[in-house]
Amino acid sequence: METEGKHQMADSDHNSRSKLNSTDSTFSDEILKLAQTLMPEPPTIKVKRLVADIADKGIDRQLHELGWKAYDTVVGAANNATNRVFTSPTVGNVLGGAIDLMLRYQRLNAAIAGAFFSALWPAVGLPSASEVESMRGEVRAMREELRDAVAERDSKDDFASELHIAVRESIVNQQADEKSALRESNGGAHAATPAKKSSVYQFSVWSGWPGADPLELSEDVGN
Amino acid sequence: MSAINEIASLWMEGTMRTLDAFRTGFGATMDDPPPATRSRVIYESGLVRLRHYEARGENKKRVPLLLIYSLIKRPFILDLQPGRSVVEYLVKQGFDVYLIDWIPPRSEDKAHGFDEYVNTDIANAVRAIQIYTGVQQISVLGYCFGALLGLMYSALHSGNVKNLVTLTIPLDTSVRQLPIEHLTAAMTSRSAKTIVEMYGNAPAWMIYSFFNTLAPTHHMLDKFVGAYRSSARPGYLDTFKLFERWLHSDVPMAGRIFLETSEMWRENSLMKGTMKIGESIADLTRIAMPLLNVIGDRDDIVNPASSEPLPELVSSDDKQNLHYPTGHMGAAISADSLKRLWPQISNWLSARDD
Repeated sequence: METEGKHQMADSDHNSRSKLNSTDSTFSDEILKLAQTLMPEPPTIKVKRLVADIADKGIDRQLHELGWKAYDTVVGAANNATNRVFTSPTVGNVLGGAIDLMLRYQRLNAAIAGAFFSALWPAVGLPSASEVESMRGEVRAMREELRDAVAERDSKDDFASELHIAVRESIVNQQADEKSALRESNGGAHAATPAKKSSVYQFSVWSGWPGADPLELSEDVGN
Repeated sequence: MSAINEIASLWMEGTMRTLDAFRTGFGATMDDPPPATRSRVIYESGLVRLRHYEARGENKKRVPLLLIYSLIKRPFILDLQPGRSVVEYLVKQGFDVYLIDWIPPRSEDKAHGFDEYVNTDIANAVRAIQIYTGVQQISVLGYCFGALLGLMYSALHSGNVKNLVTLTIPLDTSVRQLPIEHLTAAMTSRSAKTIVEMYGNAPAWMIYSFFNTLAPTHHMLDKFVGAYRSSARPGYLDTFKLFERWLHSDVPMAGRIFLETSEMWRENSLMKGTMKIGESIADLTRIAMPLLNVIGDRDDIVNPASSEPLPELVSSDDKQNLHYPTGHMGAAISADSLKRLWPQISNWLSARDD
């Protein structure tokens, strides 16, 4: 780029000089040509040449790297500042109080809005939140019923439901074993089964394969 | 396109994902991306859906491996994309992998606590694997909060667990060094109760906001600039977008387990051996099976110092901490971890497969 520019300038100098030397030009032309030749470079050309020089010397890459370094420093400083804020015990205490206050305010707000709108909605003929929620529940239940029905219809190999039943039987057997062991350890006297609040006894109905089959990918992809 | 334009476009996409996450947090559902590894759901009950990924290759292992992932995000991070999937790697090493794909709790599941998750859901999943494979003891590998659940299960049902691997487990909650530890400590029991009283479950958007608050510069700017700077690397942007999708895959936390977790955090009760799950104490000294405790040395979510004490608390003879220079999620998705960390985990399990 720089060499090309130099050639162009040399050509232009050469042409001006050769024209200056020609005999068929008027005096005013000659003066104009001389002025053009002697006139300093326009600033844009100067800037272009400077940029070309910078590019040639790899300075733009250095500037680029310097820019990213500056960015990293600023981001690092911002991260450090955030970390300092969150690790300060004072900020922690203030934040804890603020979260609590905000939640209580939100709750109060929701209660007031609930009280106001629960009276308003029926008046304008709209359902209340609890009615919408109960409808949602019904829709959900219907969706599950439909899933069960589809699974029952589609599932030729009902292996999953068999496994489901097997797990249930295994749990029931284990509970029976635990009960008899407990009875034996208490000398045959009736002993209360330890209360379990866990939902070990709850079983959901097998609802079939959820969703479509996952995408199968060839084995040679990846690692 | 100029750098500014590209970063702005990445930022805009990120903002759309954030808005989507808030939509999810308010009840909509967001689909997982297509999995890298084929699976089959073999069991579903309560809040557990059990996926089976069949072992490949000739060197098939005898002991099934159960992966337990955290409750607050979708587990597809473990099977993100071909070549960047823990599940795919393990399956190729000959492990029959079972993954607990937690079903997000609905409002009627707010009473689901540690007892229900550990003594019912995980217990039923293990029982299903036992019946399915005919193998009595399985290996359990838990990640983050999933590692806590796996640890609790192993303490309460030790007879069913042959090997235990815990990855980035937040065990010692008395450690106060990282911003997340201070921010968690700032949450009072009254605040936790108010959240549950107001919402039933801890909303996903709240959990999302909590994690984003910890690193605002990163989430608002730096990750997009980082994506631009690495965009020339082949496949980087695809992985970035999938990872972002996972970052926004927040799931609500059932009300009871949220309260119990916040109490456990304050009291450090699992570490102290005083935590009650159902009718029993989760006594870590009952853990006698081989234990591998993997710690990410650059983890800024779970402090390495919080995971380190685990081997001292169990009664296993065969136990060790495995330190690796990676971050919290890097352990699951970084190319380096898949090349160097997971082979170590796989070798450790293989050596205990008899």
